[in-house]
Amino acid sequence: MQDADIGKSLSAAQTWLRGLSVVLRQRDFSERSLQCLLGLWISERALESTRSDGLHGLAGVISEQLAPLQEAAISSCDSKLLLLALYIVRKCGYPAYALENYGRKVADALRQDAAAHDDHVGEAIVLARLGLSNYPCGNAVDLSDMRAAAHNLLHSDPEAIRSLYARICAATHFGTQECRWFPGRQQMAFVIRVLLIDALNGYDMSTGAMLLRLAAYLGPTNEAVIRDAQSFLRLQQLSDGRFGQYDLHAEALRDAGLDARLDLYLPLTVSCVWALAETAMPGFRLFSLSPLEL
Amino acid sequence: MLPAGLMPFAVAEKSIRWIHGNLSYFDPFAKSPISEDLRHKALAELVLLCLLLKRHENFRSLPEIRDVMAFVADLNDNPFFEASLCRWNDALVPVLILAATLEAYGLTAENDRRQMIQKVVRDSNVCIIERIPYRQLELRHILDAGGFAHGLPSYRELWSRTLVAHRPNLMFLSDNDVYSITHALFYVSDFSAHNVDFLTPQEIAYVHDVVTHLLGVYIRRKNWDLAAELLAAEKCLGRISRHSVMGWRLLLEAQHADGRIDGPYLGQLADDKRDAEHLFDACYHTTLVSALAGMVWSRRS
Repeated sequence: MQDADIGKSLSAAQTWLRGLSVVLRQRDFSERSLQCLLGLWISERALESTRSDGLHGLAGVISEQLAPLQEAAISSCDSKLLLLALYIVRKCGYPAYALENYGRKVADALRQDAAAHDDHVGEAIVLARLGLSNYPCGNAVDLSDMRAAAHNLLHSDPEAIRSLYARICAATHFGTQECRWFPGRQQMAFVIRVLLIDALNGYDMSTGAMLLRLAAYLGPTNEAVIRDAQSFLRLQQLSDGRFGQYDLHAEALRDAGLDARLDLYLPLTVSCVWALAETAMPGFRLFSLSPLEL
Repeated sequence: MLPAGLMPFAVAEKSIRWIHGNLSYFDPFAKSPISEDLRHKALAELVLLCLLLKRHENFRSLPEIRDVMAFVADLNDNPFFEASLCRWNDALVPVLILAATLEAYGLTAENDRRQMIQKVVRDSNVCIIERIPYRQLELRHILDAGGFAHGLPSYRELWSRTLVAHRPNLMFLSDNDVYSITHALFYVSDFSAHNVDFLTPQEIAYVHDVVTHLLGVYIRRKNWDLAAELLAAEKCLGRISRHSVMGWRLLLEAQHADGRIDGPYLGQLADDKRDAEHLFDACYHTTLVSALAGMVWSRRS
């Protein structure tokens, strides 16, 4: 598949996210706004497009919404997402007091507990780029103990897959560093590709998108399986740019009290945009952030 | 734990024991709650297995195989097979398998069908009716295995029409698609008896890559039916991998003491329906194909 095809796909997703950002700007603050902001940021950077009104508009609204709010408003949000949002909002030229407070607290906590760094590499990377911490400075997480576990991972449950994801992200700094060689690396890469096929073949697109990035972090990236996965994700994109053929379940989702657009399509579309950008756009990594002064 | 090299034979031997113990259920003419079509299919697969086991000294001398072949020879007298041969072109393959296998074991009697089969192949629509590509490969394979003359295209030509030759996207494959991949490999390699020499080393490497990834997926899903087929398919490519060793270990672990290996749909069978016949229905294919895989992996005599 040509990168141009992925570019078109990302561009369509960006258009959908931009439309959604207009809706979110009218609503109270929620984690969904941060997810949409992240999706717009990834697509803009991957496409190397010029200033996106959707991104800046949403960043401005989040900045305003969070200015008077205390921790309660953001306490349930994912910490990496909060810190990335802080980075994006600042990069767009807006203040983000509640987020900055949060960032300082996380930086202090990590400073006091060095052992926690391995579990919070994503947070540490963003904090470093924000000038709030000097991590990462040491070696990436060692995976040499995973040789024996590689085949057992074939039977991983979702929790074990998330744990594997966290370890490889820590070892590669979310794909921004070459993974050090370890015995069984090839085997591990094979198992991840198997999990990827199983997830997408079973239409678990969210897990599949995550595993697609993981497969690329561990390499090699020119595998047929990776190209198949990219192609599969693109074929699940609807004409308006969102990902996932779930409209046939619309009634069931409504009955379950879910807003399909925000609760299903938004997180899934951001996951797919992230995976396609990192595996198909040369040199793109979400966590490859330029330093930013607060 | 059994050394890796002995696992395939161990699985096959135990599977054959289970098949022997359940032989009566393969009779398509007996009264049974299992559909007649399924039992005809099961019988054809059993007979094909016997044809392939004949090539291996370690298997063909098993007493269970002698009993199975005596059972098959008895069934061969049923007029159904004569009618299949002469009346229904799409039902020829099981008759071919039966004829080739009985000949291989020297069990042909006065009702030898060779001449009649050759006439049907020449004068009927058997070779020109439309079949999906791997079924056409199946026909060619059994005609060749039985030594019958035919005008079917070459293996290379038939292979080029299959799903796997078109480099499918693995994310979209259904179970049936995977069966079409394994079966295509069985037929073009004569169940690992021949090298697939019309494929380039690069093409072999690509197909092997597909097979090993799918093997991982079906091991993950504990679908021992397709896992066993994929293990056999890997050997048909003349390749092995570290993943196949794991596959054999897990297949051995999944095998019950009596030799049965649970089929992928057994879980859907309610507890009160798990009588011997329904267990046979749900598990015979997985057990049989595990015997086949074990045979393919065992050292040829």
